[in-house]
Amino acid sequence: MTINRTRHFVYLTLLSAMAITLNLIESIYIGPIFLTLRIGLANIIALITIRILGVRDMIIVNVMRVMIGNLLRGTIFGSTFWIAFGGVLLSSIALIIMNRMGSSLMFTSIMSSIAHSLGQVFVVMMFYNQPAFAAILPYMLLGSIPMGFLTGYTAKLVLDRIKPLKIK
Amino acid sequence: MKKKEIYILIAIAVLSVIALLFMKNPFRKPEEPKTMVGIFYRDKLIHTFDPDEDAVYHVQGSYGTLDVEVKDSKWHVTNEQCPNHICAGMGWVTVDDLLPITCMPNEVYIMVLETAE
Repeated sequence: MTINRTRHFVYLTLLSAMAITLNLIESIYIGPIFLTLRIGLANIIALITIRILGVRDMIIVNVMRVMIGNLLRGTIFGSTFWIAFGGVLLSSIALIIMNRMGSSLMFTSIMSSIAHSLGQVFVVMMFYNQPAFAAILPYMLLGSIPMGFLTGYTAKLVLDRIKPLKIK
Repeated sequence: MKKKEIYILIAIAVLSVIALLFMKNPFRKPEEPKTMVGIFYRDKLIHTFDPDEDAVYHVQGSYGTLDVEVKDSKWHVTNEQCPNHICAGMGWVTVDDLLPITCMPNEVYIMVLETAE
């Protein structure tokens, strides 16, 4: 029991560290692919976490990623923080719903990516009080499908390799 | 992926493409009254310009400065001081584009205003 709890805690810490690192690498070295559209590398970790540790730990990893990632970039509680938070909030909700429905990993990833874009656009609209920002949604939704597929496929490759690590 | 999931994704993609086609505003009539463009900082309109008059506007944002260049009824952002460079990456925009140019770190956005008589 104690070993399992320790192992669980270590996994959670490692996954959080990986999510934060990927988040920073993406924002510093990769940047947006088109307009504000990013790959969402950290979403790979969210998918892995929900599959091997569960919903509660996925939320912890996502919150840690946004909080510490923005803290390290010096943008905590700024406009970019709230946009990221809005995206992560909706993508986490999508992950939970898709997980409950027993959807495939790819579909879960794509829907999470779409929800992330929706969340970000919604926060921008609220932030500037301008519904015109909804005009970016078709671009974001269309771009979220390949990005979600990419992150989902990567998560699948990782999950196939780390199956033995799953905590019973 | 299940068949149902694929159909949902196709539906989302098709709806997005239809929305994109409508966004190009193909029904705009050439005899419409004059359109003005607004530069907003922190949700406040700080400047308006006529897209038919070539000019460069210097804007002070929260992170630094940026220039809005207007040329041949199009406008874009240059010399922006921000880490993302998304606004400059959006390129040239015309009155037919509904998407506002946005610079989040500078809290500046540029969008077409309601048509003025």
